[in-house]
Amino acid sequence: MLSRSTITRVLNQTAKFHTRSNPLLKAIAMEMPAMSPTMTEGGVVEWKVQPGDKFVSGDILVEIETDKATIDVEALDDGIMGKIIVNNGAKGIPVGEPIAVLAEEDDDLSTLDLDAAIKKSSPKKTTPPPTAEKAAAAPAEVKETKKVEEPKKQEKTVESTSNDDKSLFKKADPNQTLYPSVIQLLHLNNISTEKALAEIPATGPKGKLLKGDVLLYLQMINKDTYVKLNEYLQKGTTLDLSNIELRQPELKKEGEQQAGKDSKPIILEPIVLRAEVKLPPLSENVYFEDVEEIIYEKLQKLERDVYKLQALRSEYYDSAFESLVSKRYSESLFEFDWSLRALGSNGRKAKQFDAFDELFGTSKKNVSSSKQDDAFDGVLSLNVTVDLGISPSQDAVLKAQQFIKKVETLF
Amino acid sequence: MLRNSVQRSFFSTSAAALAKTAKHDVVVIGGGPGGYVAAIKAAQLGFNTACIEKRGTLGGTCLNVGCIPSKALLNNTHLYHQIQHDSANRGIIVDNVKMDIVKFQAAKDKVVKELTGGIEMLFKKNGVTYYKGNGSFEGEHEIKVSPVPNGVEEEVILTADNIIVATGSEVTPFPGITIDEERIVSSTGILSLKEIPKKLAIIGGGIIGLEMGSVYARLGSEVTIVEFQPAIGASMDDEVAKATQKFLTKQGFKFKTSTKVLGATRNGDTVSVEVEGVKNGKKETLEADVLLVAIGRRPYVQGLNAEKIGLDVDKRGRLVIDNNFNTKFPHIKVIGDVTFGPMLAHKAEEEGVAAAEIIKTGHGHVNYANIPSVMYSHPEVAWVGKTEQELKQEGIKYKSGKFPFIANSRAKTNLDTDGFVKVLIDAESERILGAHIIGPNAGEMIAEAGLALEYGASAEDVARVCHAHPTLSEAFKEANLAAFSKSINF
Repeated sequence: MLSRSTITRVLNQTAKFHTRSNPLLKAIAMEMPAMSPTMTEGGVVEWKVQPGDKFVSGDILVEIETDKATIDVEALDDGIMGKIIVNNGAKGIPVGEPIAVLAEEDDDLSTLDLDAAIKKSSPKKTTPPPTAEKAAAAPAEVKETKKVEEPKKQEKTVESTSNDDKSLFKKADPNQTLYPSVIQLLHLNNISTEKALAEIPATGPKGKLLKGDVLLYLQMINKDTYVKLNEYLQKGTTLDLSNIELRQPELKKEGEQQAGKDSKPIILEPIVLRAEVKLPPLSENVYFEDVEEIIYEKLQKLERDVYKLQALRSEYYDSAFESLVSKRYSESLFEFDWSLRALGSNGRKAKQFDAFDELFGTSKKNVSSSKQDDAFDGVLSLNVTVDLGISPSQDAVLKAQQFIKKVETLF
Repeated sequence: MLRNSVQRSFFSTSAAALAKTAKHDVVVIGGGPGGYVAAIKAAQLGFNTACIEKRGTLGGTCLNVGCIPSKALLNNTHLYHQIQHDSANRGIIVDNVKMDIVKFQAAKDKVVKELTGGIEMLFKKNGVTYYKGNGSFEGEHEIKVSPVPNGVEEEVILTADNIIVATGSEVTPFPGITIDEERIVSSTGILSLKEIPKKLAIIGGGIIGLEMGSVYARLGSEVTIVEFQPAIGASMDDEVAKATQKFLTKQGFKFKTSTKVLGATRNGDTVSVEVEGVKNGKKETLEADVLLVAIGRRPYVQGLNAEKIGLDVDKRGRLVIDNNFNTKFPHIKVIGDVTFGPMLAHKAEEEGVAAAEIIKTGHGHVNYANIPSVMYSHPEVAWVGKTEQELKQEGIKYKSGKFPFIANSRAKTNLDTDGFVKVLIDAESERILGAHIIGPNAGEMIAEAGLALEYGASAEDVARVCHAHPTLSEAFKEANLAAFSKSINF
């Protein structure tokens, strides 16, 4: 039998029961179902049953197309397809608009007033309801054929307590174990359990009768107050996601000021900063290997120094603080490789000398400026890569820039 | 001849082409209470699941530097304090009571190690692939796991149908105060102090501040709490917060409420804390051996590279979600401290289960109106549901039922009678709206209140349930009785 009660399972929503009782009607309009809370209209891809066809619970009635996916709509009860109103291929049908008329399985279609069902259904709502539970009054179960979920919307719909009594009061679950307070109240008022379960609307979870429900039935408490209380309690059950203020990505002002030569804005590909530093002229007495060795150590030290610099306030987090609270985790802010290249073609003699003093002039006595002819003109080229994939972006770029600056003023 | 130019590379340059790859149905980023629970649940629901954690051990803040180690310290200091000050009243003479700080810390570390190791075992049991590394977004479906010490040896690129972000939170720093984790410490450093400070100053009168204050007060520290608000206890019911302050004052706490911290500087082995009264503007300097900064926690997204795929972040740093935990990408969900709601391990756990269930069935359930809070001071404080101030603000007519532990036979026999149970119910329907307990074992007892709230029970429903005698839980029953009728034993 095709009952007037309908069930719609829509994506992530709870299964909601909707009771439509209208004894005058034999046929019932099937409306465009809402497949998601935000769906406003849909299209009919293909009817799987034709007028006069019988269907049983579980049969696919129609394939509905939303902007996200195509979804099969299943019949929940047995019945007959009375009339198709919206044909295959139609698009942009508002949610709630009748798309077909269904009849009970033993109805005689020739005598049924199918149009009455449409009028009764009436597409009065031009805008779809905000919640899925109000929509889709079709005797059908929506079954996803694709995994679809609604992308998050910025403008949160105000908490979806559909502030009417119907969503608050549900039919009492006939198989429940009654609460002690309810048993007591029923007994005191000579109400049988059967009568209570049949007549008293329930507000508890899954149709549980609460003491308040019975008190309300007995008119011992005020209904408005009770509804208001329940709405207030309902509000707290979900996260308050209204009025979210998004953090806007800041313009990278500081980044541009600091950037000596390469003021690239922050982008999400690895940023490569390059520098070429001319080495001071060195006397012929210096081993190339020593120069390399010293520059290697010097670069490492500079890298460490730069890491210690006060971090820039990040828009997402403070990396300086982070380095304190999570010592166990270390990551490199940037990576660098370098090469040493000789300009000029002078050969080097294998003769021991203090290369460190030569390079950094810490000891004057060995600096030999008179041997310009034999001087070693080296160029240090440096590539610093900031991989934004693992690094705190702005801070890492700045530190990489500082690093280059320091290298440039090294000699 | 000159040598050829030599090139050296100090760090392995990222070579994406060579990176290892793996495919999973569900990848969870973060192995804390939210992440590990989500991973296990997803695996139990039949998904090929992976969990990425960079800390080196699972369990997140809670297990490593939060709930668990702090409770180890709280329980053991409580024992010590009882032996020292209470056992003689009970006819137990214990001489020469001393603390061995090294063993005391070792006991805590052992618990942490066992519990974090336990989760690894649970991963094996449920078939969750565990990547020890830093998980960061490479694309909407790609996550890069980068090596960390003792973690994955090389970069792995994971492809996932569904991603659950559970990166948690970190200590909120106090602007202008540099935490060195020696003398100026966060909630992490306070867990491993090498000696007992003579004077401990704490910025923040919330749960963390009061719990850690309790630990050191019992060990003999002079504890001063500096709180900007006029009352301590964060979101506690006002009456319970006042009672808490009274009990802690009796234990030697000093409270400076309505007091603003201007700054703090370390001078060798001491710390000077500059404070100013909010109302009178009176300035003073507090001297302490250790300063704990416990003003709260904030979402943690470092290394996640959420920017890469443009996940929305709100002004407080939380990743933005909808009611199904979805970000702007429906296959990327966010749970726990890094998004909205109270920053509690058990809230994150519930969300972890719900998120996994939503992936499987499209539906998952977390009742945010029924998340309990517990403070493990002595007496303990626990609450769930609405506070009196919330109900007043909303204009809900309510009735309050209170029962003191001094009238509870078990509390009496335990010589542990500080505190009371307070139950708030709707004046007409008598539905339970909130429960607030300060007293012995409040944290265990609050579970009954949670169950009652979940089922929309009235005070009468609880009062008509048989509670064992003599137990502390009878106090909860009696408070319910008092709320709608009259208690028997008080």
